[in-house]
Amino acid sequence: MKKLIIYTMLLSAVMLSGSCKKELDINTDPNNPSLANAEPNLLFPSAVAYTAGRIGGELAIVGGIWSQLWTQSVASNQYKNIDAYQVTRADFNGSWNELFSGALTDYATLIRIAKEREDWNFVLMGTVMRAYTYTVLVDLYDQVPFSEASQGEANLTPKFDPGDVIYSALLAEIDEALSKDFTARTNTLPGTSDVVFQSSSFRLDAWIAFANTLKLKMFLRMINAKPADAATGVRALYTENAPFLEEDAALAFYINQPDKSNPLYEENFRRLNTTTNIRLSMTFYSWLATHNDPRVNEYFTIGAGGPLAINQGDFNNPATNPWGSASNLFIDPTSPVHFISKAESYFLQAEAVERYFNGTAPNGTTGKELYNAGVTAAFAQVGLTPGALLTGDYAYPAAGTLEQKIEAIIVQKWASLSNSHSMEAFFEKNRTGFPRTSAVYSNSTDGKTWAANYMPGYWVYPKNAVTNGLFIKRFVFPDSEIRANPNVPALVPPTTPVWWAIK
Amino acid sequence: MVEGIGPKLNPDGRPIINATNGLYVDSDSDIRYGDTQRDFVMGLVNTFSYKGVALGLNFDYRKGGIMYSNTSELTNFVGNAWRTTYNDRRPFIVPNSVNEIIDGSGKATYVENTTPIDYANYNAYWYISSNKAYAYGQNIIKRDFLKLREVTLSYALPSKYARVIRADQAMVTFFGRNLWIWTPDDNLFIDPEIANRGNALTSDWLEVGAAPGVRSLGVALKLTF
Repeated sequence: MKKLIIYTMLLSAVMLSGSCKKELDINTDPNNPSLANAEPNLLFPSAVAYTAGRIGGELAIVGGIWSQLWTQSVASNQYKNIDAYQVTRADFNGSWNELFSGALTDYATLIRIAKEREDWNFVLMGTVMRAYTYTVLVDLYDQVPFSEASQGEANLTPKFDPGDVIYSALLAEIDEALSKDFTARTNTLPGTSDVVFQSSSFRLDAWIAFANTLKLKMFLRMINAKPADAATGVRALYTENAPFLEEDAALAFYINQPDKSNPLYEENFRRLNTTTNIRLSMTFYSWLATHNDPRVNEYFTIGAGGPLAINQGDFNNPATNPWGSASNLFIDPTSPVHFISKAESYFLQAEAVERYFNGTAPNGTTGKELYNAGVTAAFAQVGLTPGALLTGDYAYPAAGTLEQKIEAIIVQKWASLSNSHSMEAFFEKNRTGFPRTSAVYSNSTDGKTWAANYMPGYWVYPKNAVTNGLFIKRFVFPDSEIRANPNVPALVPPTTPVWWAIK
Repeated sequence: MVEGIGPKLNPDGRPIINATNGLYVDSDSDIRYGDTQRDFVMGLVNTFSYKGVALGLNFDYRKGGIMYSNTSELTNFVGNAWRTTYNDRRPFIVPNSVNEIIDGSGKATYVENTTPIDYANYNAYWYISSNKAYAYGQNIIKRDFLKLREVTLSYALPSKYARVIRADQAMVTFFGRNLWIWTPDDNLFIDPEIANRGNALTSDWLEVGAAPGVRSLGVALKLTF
């Protein structure tokens, strides 16, 4: 017996002594690699998920309400302060923090590593997504840290750069990324790490199209502040025959499980105790109803009584009929977060062709064809076809003035954004003035009809808004930055237009 | 240090109210509410004995410091907190308030506020999402308390009872712990010592839905052989 014990002890001593050192080093966590081990193909999906999580989540909610597609329900109060334009520096800190320290840091790191390795595929992917994320931040805050940003501990108080400077720098970066040699042997194939265009073989063509469409969008943003630069940039794109997106650039990998579904669905439906906070706005409904647009049945959950809408911002009514039964927003938990949708790409091209090429692009495509393709793509997003509307109510004003054509394009773009990156509709209104603003309130009393002197689809000043008749135009700098960074510029009221908006 | 958004005041110190809905306007910069540290801590431990009976008391008094109570925020939100019955939940105008009017040149003038908070906005008055300037201050509570931590009443049984079980001595003690707490009027919510943020500094200034403390009562029998 004694011998057995001794042998057992000897054996275990021998076995244990060998492996102790490596496995038990608790200072290195194999599940959390250090920055030195960062790889672009691991950083890219994480960064894109950050971008989509915010742009498709909280910012989409704010965008949808501020674009008057949706409004706060009367029976609950989750978004009352958004619908009332009560934006303070304590709001939206999460989006700022996650987009800067999550998305932008990841993009900066992966671009730096990919440049060192001359991996131009990843440089292009990272540069385009980083530029996209930055443009959303500039469009919201007008000035953000750019040249001194993403340096980690080397610079914890970066200065803020003006928005137009950032746009120019981003455009230059995209151009540089596009000019690289994509046949070089140092390029790696992203494989499943390309979560945007999810394909077994690398979609270089799609990324080039995404880059060009993003450039087109950025040039068109500048038409008020820098019309000459905008014209030069757009013409250059058409001169070099740049391809544009003919598919969605989106993140489409969501599944219907907690923490894994569409961000808007998670934020507004899964994580709240009330799933009926966002209702159909009378502004949007009046337009949809006037044209008998079937998309209302897809964007919203329609009951037996048909669609019912609440006047924008009119959330203090009692929750009895009719307002309590207003149609609730519908978002499928697996729906993608679009960065630039197919419809949006066509609408951007239609606008460019009308503004700079008199309605016919150098390759022969007309503004009308692009507009029709955009409307068709918008309907296809919810599984419908425009049918007779394309030649009827939504027929392109081919013989009209430039302003009428732009109005048609932008209003259709607005209507396509109810289940997507809705903030874009808010930006486009500030850039172009469309849909128009109404001088009178919609004043519906039954949720189905509206005041006789109200033009359907015209934006109204929300009933309970607190900005004295001025529409909201932007966010204010967040507390988390103000308290940590002395270089934050002076606060301006959120009714101040950003640099590219109509003054 | 506890700092945050507070009410915007005009140069006379009167709160500025938004003329549209009657609610407070946020201050431009953070205001200082106070700090979490205590001014002093004192206690009283006393024992009275008479013949075989001994009564022990243990009081603990702490003064000073403020903290943020999420319980207060939640009860204000659902309307359980006593202060949400202010003015019988009828429309009221914030006392002594003004509206700020900024003219074209940026100069500010102040007129007396005549906008009441109506029925529909009454609950918004207590929410941190719609009335930050005021609601944050309402959720900040003082950390003062006076606690009766322990009371013990012990009785040494006469030796004839102890000898029955061959013990030298028998003493029976009734004790109660965590018996009473008195807090200032503005804190009808929680025991400031019950922290559910662990032992980190966070529990000094924040409480998030902590469960109430419990009293314990018991009997002890001490036998010496």
